[in-house]
Amino acid sequence: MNNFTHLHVASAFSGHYGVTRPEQMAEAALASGFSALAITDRDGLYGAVKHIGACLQLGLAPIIGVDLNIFDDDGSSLGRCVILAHGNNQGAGWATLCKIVSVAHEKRKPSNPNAKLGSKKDIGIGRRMLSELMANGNCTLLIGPDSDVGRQVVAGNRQLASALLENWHGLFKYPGSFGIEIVSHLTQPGSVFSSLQARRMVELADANKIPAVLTNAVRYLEPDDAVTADVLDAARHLEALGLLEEQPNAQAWMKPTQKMLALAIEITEDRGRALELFEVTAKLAERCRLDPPNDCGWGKPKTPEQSALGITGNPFEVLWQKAHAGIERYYPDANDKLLQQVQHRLGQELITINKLGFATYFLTVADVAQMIRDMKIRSQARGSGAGSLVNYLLGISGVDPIEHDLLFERFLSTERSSLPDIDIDVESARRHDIYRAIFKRYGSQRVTLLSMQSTYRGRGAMRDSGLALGLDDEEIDNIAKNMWRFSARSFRGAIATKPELAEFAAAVEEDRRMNLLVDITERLDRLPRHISMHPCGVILGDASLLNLTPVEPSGVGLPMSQFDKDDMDPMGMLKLDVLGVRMQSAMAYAVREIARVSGKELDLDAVARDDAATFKAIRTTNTLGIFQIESPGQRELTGKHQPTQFNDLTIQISLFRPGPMKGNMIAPYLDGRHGFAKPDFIHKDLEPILRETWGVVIFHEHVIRILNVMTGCGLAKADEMRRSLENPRANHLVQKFFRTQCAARGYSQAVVDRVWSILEGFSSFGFCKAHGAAFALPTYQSAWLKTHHPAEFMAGLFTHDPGMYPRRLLLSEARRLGVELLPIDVNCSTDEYRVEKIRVEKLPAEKLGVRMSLTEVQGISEAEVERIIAEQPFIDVSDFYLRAKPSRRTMERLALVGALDSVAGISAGEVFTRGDVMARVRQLNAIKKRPTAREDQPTLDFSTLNFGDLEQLPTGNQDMSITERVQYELDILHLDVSQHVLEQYRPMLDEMGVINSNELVGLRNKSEVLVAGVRVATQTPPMRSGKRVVFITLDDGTGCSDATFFDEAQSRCSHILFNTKLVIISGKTRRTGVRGVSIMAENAWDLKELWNQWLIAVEDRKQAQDLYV
Amino acid sequence: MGGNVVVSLNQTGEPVEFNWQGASYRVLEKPVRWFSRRQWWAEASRVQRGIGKEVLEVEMWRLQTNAGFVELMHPAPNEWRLVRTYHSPNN
Repeated sequence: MNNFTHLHVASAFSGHYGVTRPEQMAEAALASGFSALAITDRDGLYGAVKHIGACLQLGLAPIIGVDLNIFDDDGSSLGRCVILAHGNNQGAGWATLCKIVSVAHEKRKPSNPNAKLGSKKDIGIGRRMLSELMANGNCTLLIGPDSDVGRQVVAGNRQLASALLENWHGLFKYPGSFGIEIVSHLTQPGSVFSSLQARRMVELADANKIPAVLTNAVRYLEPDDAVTADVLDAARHLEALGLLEEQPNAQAWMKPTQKMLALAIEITEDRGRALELFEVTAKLAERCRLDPPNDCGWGKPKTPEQSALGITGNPFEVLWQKAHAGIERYYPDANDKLLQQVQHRLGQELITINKLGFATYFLTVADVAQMIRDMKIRSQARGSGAGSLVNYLLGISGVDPIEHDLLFERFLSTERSSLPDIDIDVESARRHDIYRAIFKRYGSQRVTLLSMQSTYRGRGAMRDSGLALGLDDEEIDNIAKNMWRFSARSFRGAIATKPELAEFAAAVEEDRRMNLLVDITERLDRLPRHISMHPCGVILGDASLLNLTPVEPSGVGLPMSQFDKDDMDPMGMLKLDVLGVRMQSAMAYAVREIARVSGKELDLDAVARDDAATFKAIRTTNTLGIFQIESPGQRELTGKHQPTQFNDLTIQISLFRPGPMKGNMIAPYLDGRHGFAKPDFIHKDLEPILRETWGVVIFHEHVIRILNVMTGCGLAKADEMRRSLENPRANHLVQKFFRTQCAARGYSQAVVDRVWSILEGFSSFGFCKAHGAAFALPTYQSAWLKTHHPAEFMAGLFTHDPGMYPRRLLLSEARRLGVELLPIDVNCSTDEYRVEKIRVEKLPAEKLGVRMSLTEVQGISEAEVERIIAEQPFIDVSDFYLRAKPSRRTMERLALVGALDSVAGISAGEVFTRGDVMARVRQLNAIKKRPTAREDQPTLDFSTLNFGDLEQLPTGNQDMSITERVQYELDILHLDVSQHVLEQYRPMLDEMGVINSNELVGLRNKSEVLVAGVRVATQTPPMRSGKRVVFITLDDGTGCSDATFFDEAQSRCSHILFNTKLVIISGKTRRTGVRGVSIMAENAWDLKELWNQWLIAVEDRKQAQDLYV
Repeated sequence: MGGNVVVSLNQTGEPVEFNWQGASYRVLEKPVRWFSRRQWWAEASRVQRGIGKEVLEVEMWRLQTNAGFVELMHPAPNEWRLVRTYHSPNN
């Protein structure tokens, strides 16, 4: 008797159904003594690649199938069935399976690319269509207890069941392509999945001479997991447990051979028949074993065919020519010495590319890069690809690898055969245009998007668990708002330690349901939650692509592969990441505004990269809106670092990672740089390598060079060794090689020991310099724009919102820079933030301001915005009302934020208050049906209207106070345009002695201070001590203050720590660098609460004073 | 219904005889066994990893006696509860 093989198994990648990840399944299968295992996820091959990978690693034979809904001709469901691909047939079975799955998702595709995807209930395939696709007999279909046949068997309708079976059998005639799935979950006799039903199914199969196959319809690894399955079922139905049809018991687990045999015997009541079941199942399993390299293209890199790229002749020669043509372009003024260096390096890179056979790959990426340039869209390669001279000469990357001392081997070498990653940053607003262009250019049979699986984290897991338990939304929200960044599985631990969860912890003690909530939240940890389109990836393959991957609609009008980014390498698929970076859009916008307003055409990429004014501006630490360095932590680092040149930016970006921060690289670097300590190069051979970072090993490139210099192994091998450092198993081999070679080359023991201890600790700490340099470019460019063209740059930031901060902080920053934000005006505003020239009284020059966009008004529709723009300009409020046709809400909101103020002033020639405008608006809004403004009517007929002279606005209405204005602005625009929101609390702040954040830098160390502001950032970065530290950044209109909360301070104000917007913080100043200062927080308060108390106190004081009069 | 039942099992773990409310009953035909479920969300105080099976699933037996059919719940090794009695099975 063979071991059993499970042929119907749902992994965790069966969304909201399966519980166990493929890797865990495979390990357990091996431990159970199985020699093969199938994964048949619901609706797709989502877990397939991970399953195949796990099986190959463990020595299990992989089998792949799918569990799909099958439809009758009239569209009714025949139940879910299993389809398994046969293997060892040069991919014929796999290709058929992929096609079947792709067809099953077709109905969800909306007719209009921008419309929502169809319901998930539409996923499935027609039986007739399925039979056509399976006509070649390279797959097997199994129908089971849940099929139309199974249901009639349970109902006892033998004849009907037989007739229905014949419908199936008639369509799937190819021998071996059809079978009946026998399952028993030992449910109540007479119900679905009972042994009785299974017995009848066996009888039916035998009577009709159809193979009967035994499975356990597995959806989890162990019976314990059934609880998790219950929660997933609730989440899938969006219903509380008890209100849906739950699974019958906990029998759907991966049972070992002995238990499956016992089941077979219970079902058949005949040992001989049971053994026959086993044998037929084993035979089918044998046919379905896959040979991944030959069936799935496993490990074989694929790129578009030459013809698809428009290349005739040898691709390598074409690459050679293009690269050499680039030398003229990118090194026009190079002297002989540099040219020689370039030629030499280019030659080396091309040799490697040729050896690896990747010429077509580079030509493909260059082709895409050129296509993007032709579309006039900003783009720039990021990542280790910046280290390649070929990339630079082909126009893929924007940093000169020779100038910045970057290594090709970090990106590509003959030691690695997998396709390198090339990521291209593009303007985020245009990236869908680029995807469509790629599809058009290479053909839809060669291109797909790819998918991304998000997994359950703390908050999301708690929410779905709360739903399952029937908690109401308010209860769930209350708990969620205090859940700050911990994984689902450590929920119970978090409750015990985090002060902000203290209230919830008490509830858990008393309320049984809260206790359950914690338990089931932990169970959901890291299970896949949603599949969605990967936001940047594009798969570029050859014409066989759709035979290797199934696709489904993505929601953006293009198909996406069901495989995710981790599946690409094993499947040999080329993934190009086209990342939408909002900063690129913001910069492109700024450049266009500069052209529009001043007529100057600026080539941002050609701007000199050593502008002193730009670096000076960076050094002030007012880096809001500057790429990569605007976070509170980066601002503090800038205060200490004080960058003066481009390479400093590369270093600063590289240093700001958890690794270097934990690994204590920053302090020695800064000390060396500022002359506080003498740099220690350990050995003179390492000085040229580490000079740029004052002796500190920061970059991957440093490690590669050090390994090469000290062992003579060559840069390519050095990079391999660097990668092995991270691998605990290979680590000791690297050490052995290192020590032996170093000793042979005469390095002292002390030197070798010191260098090795640095390299060993390096693995999690280092950063790739090419990445850093690629990022430093837009960092510099955004800083340059902010310094030299602040108005245009702010306009770009407002329109594309690239940063981490809320928009009102941008507003605050614009104010600080002297860039006036012009309020929304129905006559001047458009759907973007546009730069406008402002006439300044008594000054000859014009200032530049930024006009706010109509789109900021809450609830305003696209149609309304379009109409306003089309009908501009308006002569008075009523004219606006008639021709722009705003809804009542929009009309009111526009008036409340002052968008009608100028229009009201124009026609009357007198000054009205906004209160007058509001009165007019209320009158207009009260009109039941808006009259149409008809051009053939010289005067409007207002006999139906109830008010008098239209030309004059009503007068005498009280104007809005500034506090009211700001409040409306915050409500309607989420922006405090008229004045900073803090200003209305000024009397209390002054009395309390609250200081401005721009005054902090002038105070002595350890001064006691009070600061106030709007919370703009809350962070809990990883700390060396492992304890949680909370950083809160406040904006008060004069700049930002940064406060640090350690344990004691956290517990003092835990109830407002994560959720209050307006805050007052007390603490002591702490100087962190030349221009750096932060606050060691002692306590914090809700500003609005204090204000209310203060008002009462003021009133009491006044009354007390009155008593004495 | 409910209440404590004392059950005697044979070699293969199947009930052959049981006592309930002072009376003794012999099991006539081969007993039928299946697994049913409980509503842990309404009953259990904890469902942490490891105890799932015992809070979710419960073994059930249908026994034929000369007094009719009896359905027993078997939630724990020595715990048997009478769930219901009837005269003819549904299927």
